[in-house]
Amino acid sequence: MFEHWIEWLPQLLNGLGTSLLLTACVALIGFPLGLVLGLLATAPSRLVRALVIAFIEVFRGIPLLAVIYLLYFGLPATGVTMAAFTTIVVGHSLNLGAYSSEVFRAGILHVGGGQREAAASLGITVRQAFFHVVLPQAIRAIPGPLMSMLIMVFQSTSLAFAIGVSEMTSKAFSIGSMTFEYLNVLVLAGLIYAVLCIVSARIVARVEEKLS
Amino acid sequence: MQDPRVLLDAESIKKSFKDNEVLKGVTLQVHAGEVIALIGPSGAGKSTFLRCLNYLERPTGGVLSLDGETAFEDSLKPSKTELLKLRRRVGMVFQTFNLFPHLSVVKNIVLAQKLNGLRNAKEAEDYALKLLGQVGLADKAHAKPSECSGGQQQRIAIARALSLDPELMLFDEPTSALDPEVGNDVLKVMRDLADRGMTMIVVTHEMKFAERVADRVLLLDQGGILEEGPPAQVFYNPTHERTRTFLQAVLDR
Repeated sequence: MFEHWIEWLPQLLNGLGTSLLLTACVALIGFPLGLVLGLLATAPSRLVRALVIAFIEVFRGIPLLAVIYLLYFGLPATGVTMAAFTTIVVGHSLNLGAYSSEVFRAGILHVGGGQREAAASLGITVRQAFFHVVLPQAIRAIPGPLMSMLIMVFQSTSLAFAIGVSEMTSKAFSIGSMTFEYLNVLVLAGLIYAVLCIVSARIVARVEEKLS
Repeated sequence: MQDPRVLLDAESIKKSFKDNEVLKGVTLQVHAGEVIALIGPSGAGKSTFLRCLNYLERPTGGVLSLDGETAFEDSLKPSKTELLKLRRRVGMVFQTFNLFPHLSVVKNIVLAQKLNGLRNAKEAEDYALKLLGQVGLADKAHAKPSECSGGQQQRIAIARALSLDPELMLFDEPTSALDPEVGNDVLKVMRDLADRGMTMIVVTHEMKFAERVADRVLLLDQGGILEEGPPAQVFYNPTHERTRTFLQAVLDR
């Protein structure tokens, strides 16, 4: 069964490139979105808080695949059309933003009031204190949860297959459909996912150990 | 060495938390170069009063002036600019040090200088190293705060507060979180500072320090000044029975 693996590997790795690119795009948009949502969820205005929390709950409540279908097949009815790749990035980022907002909020709450007071007593403005004192400490407190989320994002980029983005799962599937070796090729793709995830999880564990 | 110039004029400072009146109008004038020790039982309002002086706690009444200049046009509605200006002139040292744990020691001292636009990166770092030398910790410049002992952290916190060249330094129980022998290093740094003419207000339970270093001792009780005078008078010849009871309780501890 292994003789085909070498032959399939280039195509799968090509798909893997797309998966990783998707992951990177989603992280670059989704995490900052999560940070902003996490901050707004503690805003003084009750209206802002309510809106943000509603947004978070909605995007945590709807399965990602449903969000993707809604954006890709539903939204054109309102005149908004996006390419498949863009749809995945947008849908996935909304999902990641909603999920990671809680983590960011916890990280920010983790930084004690004494830190803000010390900064204030030194004539540092609230905004400067946020970027130079609070945020760096908040992010150091939560690398584990953030990295686990990143790994989950990488795995769920396989959902892009549903709307025809040729990432690794869809490449595997198309190889399967031509050779009828579905089991074989999907095992190989699964292994690649697993190896990458296990290795990165290990790295995360190391980093966390070093930071604590 | 005392300057007749009144540096801080706190007039009838009041503070209430909801219905609880913590400060019932405390008035204090501090001359340039003077060292004031604030003592009193816990819950007397010492820390609250100190924190009102740089508006970490917003007073609910009273007027604050620095060097003859009113700090706030409307002391109940301080503007951001007025707040920053006041805090750049008044340094503060906390009981729990509150160093920034993600920054090295020297960067802790550089940060506020840079963000305030006081000095450029190079000058700020040189100045930070000089201040670290003054508190006897030049060798810790590149350590992380977590690698320093409590006493060292507090001396670093003093250097950090000094980095903005404050005219007045506030100390909020600076040695209460420290073992006595470590606390002595901190007290020594504070004594040096006083000797060099820094104007200081120190909330403390260290009666020996208050006696030796302070020019004036204020005893706060139930949100007001109960006793005020030179250390010799407050400690050995107090006018109130309540003062005697408090001092006795402290000595018995």
